Amino acid sequence: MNKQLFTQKSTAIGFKLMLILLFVLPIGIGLIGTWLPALGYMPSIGSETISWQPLLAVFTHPSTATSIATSLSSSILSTLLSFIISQCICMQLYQTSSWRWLHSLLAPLLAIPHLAFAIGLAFLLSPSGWVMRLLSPGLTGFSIPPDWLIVNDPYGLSLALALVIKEVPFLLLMSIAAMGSFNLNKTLQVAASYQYTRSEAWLKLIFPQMYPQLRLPLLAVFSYSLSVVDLSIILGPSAPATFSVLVNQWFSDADVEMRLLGAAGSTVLLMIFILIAVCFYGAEKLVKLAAKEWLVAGAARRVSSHNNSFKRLFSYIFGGLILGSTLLSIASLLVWSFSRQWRFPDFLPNLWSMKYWHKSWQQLLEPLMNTTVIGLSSALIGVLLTVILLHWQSQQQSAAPRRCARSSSLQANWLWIVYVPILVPQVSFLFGIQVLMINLDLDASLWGVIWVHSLFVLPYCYLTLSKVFLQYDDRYFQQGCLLSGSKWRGLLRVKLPMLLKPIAFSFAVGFAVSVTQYLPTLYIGAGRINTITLESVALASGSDDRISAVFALWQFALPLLVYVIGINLPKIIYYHRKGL
Amino acid sequence: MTTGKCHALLENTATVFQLQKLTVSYRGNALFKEITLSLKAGQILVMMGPSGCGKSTLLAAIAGSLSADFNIAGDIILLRKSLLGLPIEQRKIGIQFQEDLLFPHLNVAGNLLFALAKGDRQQRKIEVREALASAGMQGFELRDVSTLSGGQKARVSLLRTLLSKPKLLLLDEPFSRLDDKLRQGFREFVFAQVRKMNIPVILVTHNLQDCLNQQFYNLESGAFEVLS
Repeated sequence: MNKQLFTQKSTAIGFKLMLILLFVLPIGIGLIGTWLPALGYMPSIGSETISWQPLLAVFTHPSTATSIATSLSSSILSTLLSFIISQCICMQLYQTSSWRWLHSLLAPLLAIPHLAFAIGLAFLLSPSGWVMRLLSPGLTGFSIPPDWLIVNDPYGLSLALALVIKEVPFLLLMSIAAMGSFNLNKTLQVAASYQYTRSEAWLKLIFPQMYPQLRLPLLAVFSYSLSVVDLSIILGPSAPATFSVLVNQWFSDADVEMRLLGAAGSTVLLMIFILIAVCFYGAEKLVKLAAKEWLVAGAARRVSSHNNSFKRLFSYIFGGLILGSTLLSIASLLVWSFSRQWRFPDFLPNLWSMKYWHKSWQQLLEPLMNTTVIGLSSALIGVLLTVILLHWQSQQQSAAPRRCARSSSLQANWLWIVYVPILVPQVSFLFGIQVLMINLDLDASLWGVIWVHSLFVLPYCYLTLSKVFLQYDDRYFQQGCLLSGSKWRGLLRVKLPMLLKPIAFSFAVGFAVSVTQYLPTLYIGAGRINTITLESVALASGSDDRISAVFALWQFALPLLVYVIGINLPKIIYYHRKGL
Repeated sequence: MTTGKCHALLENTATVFQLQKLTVSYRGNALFKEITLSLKAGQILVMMGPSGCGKSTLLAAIAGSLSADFNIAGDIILLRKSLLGLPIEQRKIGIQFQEDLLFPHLNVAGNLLFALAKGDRQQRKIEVREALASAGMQGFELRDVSTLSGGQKARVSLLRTLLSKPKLLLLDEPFSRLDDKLRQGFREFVFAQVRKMNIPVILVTHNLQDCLNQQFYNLESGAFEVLS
């Protein structure tokens, strides 16, 4: 009895160690490997004295103040806006006929990579883009594109706009998951029977129950907005750039001394992130405190149906704008890629051609191969590790049925570990990992890139699979073990085939995450491993728009293809099995 | 308990709630036989029937939470006003489900205050204190609802519904989640509280022991029956 208890406890500890090993340790090593140069210690370039010099140099650099201000304003603005919009949409459209629609639109919207969308949006909004063409010359009187800075505006507004459009669907997905964890319909009914209007009931009862589950996704959105580099290069301001781009420029400077400044800059970025994260948490506590009385003060006695339909209209408009701009961005990529000659106020090109698709082919082959190999390998690693982790976790849960409630709360307490690779800004630790890879002689190798990609793929695989895996009725697995006489056969021939659908989907998500990685490929690949994403960024900041459109479309199409296969393959395999 | 229209007319003065020739249909199929009945203040109607005979649909039709796919014929009248077409929040009906649905982000007092109408802060606090005292739960104001026992949760949940001062109470199998020992105590608590409120009640149940006066309405046969 005692021994059994002991082994169970030790596997629980082993499991936590495994989580830390996979999700926290690499990031920790990367952080330390960045902090040391930030403090002046980098023997490989002959700097061995610890000092504050690099950190001080960050603050005395002429561009730092402005670029930090732009980064902060655009990231906070986009995070708050996307959060508010997503919550408005949930509140107004839940239980309406549009809700189903919205639900089915989320997956395709999420599948579009940020970068491909951003390149499309830049085409759409630029002075010679579709929006301006639609208004010209009729409304604007322009016969040549105006000399305006719409994209790359100095305040980072176009960057913030792109982030909002991309993050609203993500937060909606997370909100829907949070809404499933309690009895929403009956809660609304009870509140209505106490004479609460729907909006008030939502704010006082539904939102406070959802928020604890939205905290980490919200921080992840903020971290991404603050530290994103590829999107900022396409849409952000250029002189000075956002802080993440500035740090990235320091790192890639020809002068190796600048590495110290880069490391110090990325450490400052991390500190900014932590500071704002603490502020988010503080703001939550303050709001909670301030709302304490209001929450239980009773229903406001006003019946305002007009107001309500107005709010609903607002949500429809936001939803429509997000969907519309996404579709138009992809459409403008398509039109550009097939155009040959396109005079300014014309709505469509005068001459169409396949020339640029042909022309891009030779340039495309190597990055396409690299992207596919890296994507498939890291998704495979991510799904394999996830399956091992989750199977282990589910065995632990079923071994301790009495403490079921406790083990599930344990899981909630440990969930943030899974979020670590998503939460910590990439710029702030990738340099350390790069240094490590150089020491291991793995830099610029395909293996190194695959490994670093799987760091970021793993959390997404885990998040997409954990719910179905932990809810799976393990008695099927136990029957499989008993009947086949082997745990392996029980796992491989019963449990995993039954879960093929979510596993295939998780693989597709992992692949898509890998395809969109920019900084990890750039740092670990050391410029020698070229991918579609790297090429798209390089092309978008110069050269020909039409080639750039072709590459952006490839970046869009590749994950889409894997999604389509991942969703349909299980359906084909189990065509005659209705129970799955 | 009044069963026919004639009886209803005779006792019209005290009638608070009426169902008049009520049927609910879904895609043209009636879900139960036409109901006509009326309830006086303080009267408890026990409704039974096998599962799937439309009990929850009837309750949803009365409460106003039925989706638009259902078709309601006849009339539902509370305090001389038809409820048809009114949203839930204007019907003044309390609903008690088998789940307690206590709000986990609020403490016991918060849950109870939530249902109370706006008003003087001190007065509302006193009302909450008195309600808790009536349930033998003095001093439970600041307790986290998740630390309450099953019986305590059920009582707080009912108190919450009653504090919203409904004019009609619907009880949807409120005892079915409790074990036998708790059931008996909670049932007596509910009936005592309801008598004090002096409002009509419809109690949907599976358990014969819940029948007051040995009489119940059988939704399947569409008639009152007496326990033998």
